[in-house]
Amino acid sequence: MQTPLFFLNEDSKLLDTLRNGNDSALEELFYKNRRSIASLVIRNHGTDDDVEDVLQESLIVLWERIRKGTFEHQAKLSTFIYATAKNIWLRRLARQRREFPAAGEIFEIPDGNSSPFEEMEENERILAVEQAMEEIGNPCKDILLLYYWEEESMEEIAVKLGFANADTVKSKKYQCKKALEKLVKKALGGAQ
Amino acid sequence: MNNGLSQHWTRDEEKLAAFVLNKIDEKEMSVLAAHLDTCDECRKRVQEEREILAGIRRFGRSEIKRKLKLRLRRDQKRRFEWINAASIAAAIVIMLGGVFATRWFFDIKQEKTKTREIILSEQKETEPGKRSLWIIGRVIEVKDILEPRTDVTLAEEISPEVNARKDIPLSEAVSKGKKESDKMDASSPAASYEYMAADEHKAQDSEQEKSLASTPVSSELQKESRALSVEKSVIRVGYDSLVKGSVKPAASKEYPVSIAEAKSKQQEIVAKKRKSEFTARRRQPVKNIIVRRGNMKDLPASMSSEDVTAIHTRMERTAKGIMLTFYSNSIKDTTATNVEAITQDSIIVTFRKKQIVYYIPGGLSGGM
Repeated sequence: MQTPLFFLNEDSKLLDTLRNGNDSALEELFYKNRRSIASLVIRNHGTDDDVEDVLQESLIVLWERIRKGTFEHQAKLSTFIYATAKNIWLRRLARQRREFPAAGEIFEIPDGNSSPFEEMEENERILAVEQAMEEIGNPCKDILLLYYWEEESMEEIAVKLGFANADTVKSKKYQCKKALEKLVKKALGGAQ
Repeated sequence: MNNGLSQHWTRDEEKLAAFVLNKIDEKEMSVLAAHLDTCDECRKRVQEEREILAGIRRFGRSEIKRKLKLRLRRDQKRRFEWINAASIAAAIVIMLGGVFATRWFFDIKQEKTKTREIILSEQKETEPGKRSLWIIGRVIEVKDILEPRTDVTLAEEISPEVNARKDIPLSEAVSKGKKESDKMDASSPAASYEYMAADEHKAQDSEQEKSLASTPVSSELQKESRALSVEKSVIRVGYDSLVKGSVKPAASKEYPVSIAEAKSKQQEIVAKKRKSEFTARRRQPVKNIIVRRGNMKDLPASMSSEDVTAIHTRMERTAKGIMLTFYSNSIKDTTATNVEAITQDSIIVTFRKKQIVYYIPGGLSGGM
């Protein structure tokens, strides 16, 4: 196998840091990629706040992929971040256009099974879950995050959080989920 | 289908989570999905599970985003603090610098104001038509007695009028003075300057006397003669101060009388000096006297003058010693040579071959 390029070595170090659960590398990536993302976003009618937001989103996408093990290190990290940021920004621009169509522009409702009303309801419930996660304490928050977001196995969670075994985590996860659902129901019921 | 998988499988929490997380193999997935088409309850459960998953993921993202923002803010704050600290440090350094500079400035000023100032303006205020001696000083190290210069004479350089007057061979007098000086140097270095200067005056006087006597005295020539007499008077002023300890202008209304008077006085003075206690005391180079060139702008308003021949000498006692500053409008030469103590309260500054005597009230080591 050919010796990896220097930039890949540099990136490998950052990737290893992120894989080990240390998200301090995100900070480094933020500063390294800020200029290129700024030129992309500002050139396309964005602001400084948009630059920060888009870059952070891109870094989170990278982080998620790394944590889930779905990231393939084929190109420079900066290339991946730039491509992700570009997608995020273009999607946002499209959404802005949809929400605030220019004069004379006809907005078409995208095809789908759900109606806008249903979509709104779904969003509301998702928001309620997010808020419930704020309220739920540890270790439930960690267990649910590790299981649903980072998609780790019960065994891995047991090791990470110091549980006796996977079964303990399994039963704890069940309790946590029920608690979360209760909080969600409470939040949605209060809103109604 | 009535197999185990298709019957309300969503009641199995593990299976439901695995389904939304897409962790089930394709074959099983298609069976479970098929059941959802026929079961509203299961479809609803899957939808709820998807919403929980979306909510948790959104929370996870916002959590890490918050962490990242916090870290960036902390980093920016740290950078800002560092810049702040650096600016504060720089400001302190500048302030301290300012304080020290001000203190230094005021110390110098105070030092100056503490010292008594003697402005030797008497030379300027000599009789009308007389010129003051030009002394252009600058900071010089006090060295041993230098060999007197023979290539130039003071009169030639300081006064174009005198320079134009070729019939008075001052250079001859100078070279004679030099020879005498060498002679004296061999026997008594202490007396060499006195002897040389006296001899030189003698030569100058006799030359001038001869020239004045042999030709009818025109008004033009009288003026020139007066100009020359200034130079002599300057020298005489120096010797007068040796004795009297002050600068005294020479008389020159009646030129021949003045010459005769000067001649006899100088002879008398030289004779006295050789025997006196003054000559017995060896002149020593004074190490704490600094001669420097001053800026005319620094002169008090009352002293400033457009007269290019004017020269003022300021004497002050500083921490480093006695400082003699010469102020002049026209600077041709920045050479001053020697400073010697002749008594405890008077010094000689040698400028080229000429010597100016200054009286220092309070003495060299006393307070002024």
